[in-house]
Amino acid sequence: MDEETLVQGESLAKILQDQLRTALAQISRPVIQWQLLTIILILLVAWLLPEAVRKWLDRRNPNRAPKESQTRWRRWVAQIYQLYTPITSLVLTYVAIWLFERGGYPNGILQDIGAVFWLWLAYRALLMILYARFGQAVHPYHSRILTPLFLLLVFRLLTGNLATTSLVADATLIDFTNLSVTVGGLFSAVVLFYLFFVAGWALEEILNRRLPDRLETKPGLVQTVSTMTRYVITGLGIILAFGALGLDATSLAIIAGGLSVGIGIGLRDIIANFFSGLLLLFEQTLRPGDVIELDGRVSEVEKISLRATTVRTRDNVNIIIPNATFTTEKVTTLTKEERLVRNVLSFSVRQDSDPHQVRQVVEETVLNHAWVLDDPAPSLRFDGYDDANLFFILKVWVDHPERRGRIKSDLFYMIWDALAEHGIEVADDQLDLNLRRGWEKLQKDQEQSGKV
Amino acid sequence: MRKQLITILLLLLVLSSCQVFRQSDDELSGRVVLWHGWTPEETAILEEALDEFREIHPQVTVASLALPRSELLEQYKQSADDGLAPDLLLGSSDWVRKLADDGLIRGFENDEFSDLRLETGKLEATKYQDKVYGVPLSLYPRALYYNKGLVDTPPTTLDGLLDQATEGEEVAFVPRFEEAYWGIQAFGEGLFDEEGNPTLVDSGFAKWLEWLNNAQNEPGVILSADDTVLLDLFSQGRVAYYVADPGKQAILKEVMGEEAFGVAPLPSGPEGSAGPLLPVESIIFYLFSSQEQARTAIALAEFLANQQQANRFMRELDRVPANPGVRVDSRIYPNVSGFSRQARTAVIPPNELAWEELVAVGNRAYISALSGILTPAEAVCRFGQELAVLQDLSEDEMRLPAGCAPIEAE
Repeated sequence: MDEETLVQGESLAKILQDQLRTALAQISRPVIQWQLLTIILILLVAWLLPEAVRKWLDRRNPNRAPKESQTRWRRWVAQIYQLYTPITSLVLTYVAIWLFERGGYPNGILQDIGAVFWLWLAYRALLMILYARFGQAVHPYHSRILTPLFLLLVFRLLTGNLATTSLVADATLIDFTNLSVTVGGLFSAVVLFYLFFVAGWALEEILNRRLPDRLETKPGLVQTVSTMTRYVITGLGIILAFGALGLDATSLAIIAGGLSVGIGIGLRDIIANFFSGLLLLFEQTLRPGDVIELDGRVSEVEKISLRATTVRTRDNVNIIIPNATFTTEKVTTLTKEERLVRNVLSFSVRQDSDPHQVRQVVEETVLNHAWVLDDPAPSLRFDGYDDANLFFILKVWVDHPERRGRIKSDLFYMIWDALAEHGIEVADDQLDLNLRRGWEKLQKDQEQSGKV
Repeated sequence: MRKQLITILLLLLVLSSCQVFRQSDDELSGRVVLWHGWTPEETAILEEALDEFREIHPQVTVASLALPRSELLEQYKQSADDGLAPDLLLGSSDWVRKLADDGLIRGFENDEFSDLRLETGKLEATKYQDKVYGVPLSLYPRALYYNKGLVDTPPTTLDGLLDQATEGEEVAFVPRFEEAYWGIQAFGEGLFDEEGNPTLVDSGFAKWLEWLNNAQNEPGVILSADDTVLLDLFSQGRVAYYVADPGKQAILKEVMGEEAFGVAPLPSGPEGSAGPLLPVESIIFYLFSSQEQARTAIALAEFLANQQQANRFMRELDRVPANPGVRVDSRIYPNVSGFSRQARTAVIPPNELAWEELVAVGNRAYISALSGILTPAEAVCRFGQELAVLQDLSEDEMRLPAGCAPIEAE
């Protein structure tokens, strides 16, 4: 009688079969049926009652203010209304537990459900506060973190007391040499990986939002740091998940050895892109915000991930470029050290214009453009003249390299207007002839032919 | 969405109601769950028996579940609170009091139980407050294991045991209340009267403690609280005698071989046979099973306790049958026979006493007497006084030996 029973990990199919038999046997008991029946009734009442109250209020006061015109206080009341169902469920559950106890009947399932309703209430209250404080920005965190956590805790509450949970958790899924994976191990691994994955994502989001304002540093550097942080946390999650699966170094070596050939052939490109991504992130050869020219197209780097880099063109089109491209091909970066680039514009005016006046007008005008820098200052170079034109080259510095085309266009408009305003004519292809003799004869011929 | 959910809930409500008010028919059918703490090897044999039952009653589904023995009681209590406990539990008879007090197991009136087609002995092991709470299945009395390579004939008296021990055939056992209870009856009338009340007058407790006190100074007597060490000493052939229950047979068979050891009743004393405590593995029934399940559970208990299955468990697992109809042939099953003979003089502890508290108080008496803190007589007086306070027993209910201070209420 003292000897400990050794319960070995049994096959999952057998355990599930036994579980099904056990569940069917348990559900045929009146004590279970009454508890389930009570839970169903509680949920029905808790869901239907708020609806009935709302309709009753509508009937009593049909001219209630519409949602849009409600005061802040009323909006809070509307949020609190969201707590009505869990609170009603809780109250009804505890009434039911009291009644069961008075009758001397088991009520453990009702108590477990009561704990779930408490959790539900806390979850709803937390969401209420977060949405009221941060608005819709909470939504991604709600769906990716809070809801899965809530469901996980509910699962834990409902299965934690079951005697068979540990048996199912110990059931062996894979048993191969040193590798033995149980259901519980797999579940823990998935949960751990997911939690670390979303934690990495959330931290990246928060860093990207908060750090640039506080550190006043280059956005590219912040994004690199946040991306690396995310990958480190995700990597840690992967290691812990492997640990939860029960994979030790030997098992991993066996798996890696077995898969290495397949990986080498099938995933060659992905691995090349992965390591290129690591190089880009660590070497900082390319950073988010950089303006690059690739295949004759200028675009701004949006995001560098481990496999690919996302760039946005001036047409506002996102292009996903495998990272290996940046380590194997020639890429022109316009913003390696700094974002300053020089814009060069050529134009000409009529030969009878005053070049000094042109210089003054143009240099003053272009400084009015928001993106043209005054240091280094714009300069207008007199590039020569011919019979009809004076040629100029304007050089201005801008710190928005991706908008060079637009700035150029703006400047031409501004120069055109400014020159017109000062009576300076822009050169055209018309040829002016200056006749010094024979003008009288030409006039006489025209009169004779009846032409002017 | 809300309407769909409500429809589903209403549908479930109707289905549940159908289940609740379904009438059971007369045929043996339904689903029952059995929990036990048997090892995988033992479970395989149990499954053979269950398969036979399933063949006889094809309408019945039996789901069995093996849990670690150390967790079995707690898991049962927890599940019973939810209504999810098994319909049958293979557990120790000393769980009866706890589970009955919590209202978690089904009790039978004596006449109700005698109507059953049960042929079991030691029913008193599962009796509590005039009700029977289970069907005894196997007995677990402690007896004397001996090494056949070192011993020709095991001693039948305590003096003989001591003589052999001093001559080199060493003896090892745990000097604690449960493990070393067996000598009390050899020196007196035992700790419990016929009604199950504790009595220390002429119990033999003080004399037994005195014998132990003297014996522990003999070179061939090894008394240790660490049973694992003693088991190792015996299995390695370093001691000739070892006192333990039938549960140790499996491991000794594996280490020493089946023919290397034997089992004999514990040596008797000047007042009679040794009387170890008798834990009884019993089939216990859940209080909140449905009527159909309760009927099927009792039928399954009858089946598992019948002669045929008791023979199977004895043959395959060396279990000592509680069923008195099973003939234990000492030529075929010498070791089981040794335990079976010991069971005849073994003492079934009354469930009216809170067993864990009794054991704790008893252990203190053994420790204080054997370490010399108290004389055996003083240790017995202290035991009686502490027990009376713990169990809230009056002087009439708890008679102390002469010379003991009167019981003081706490």
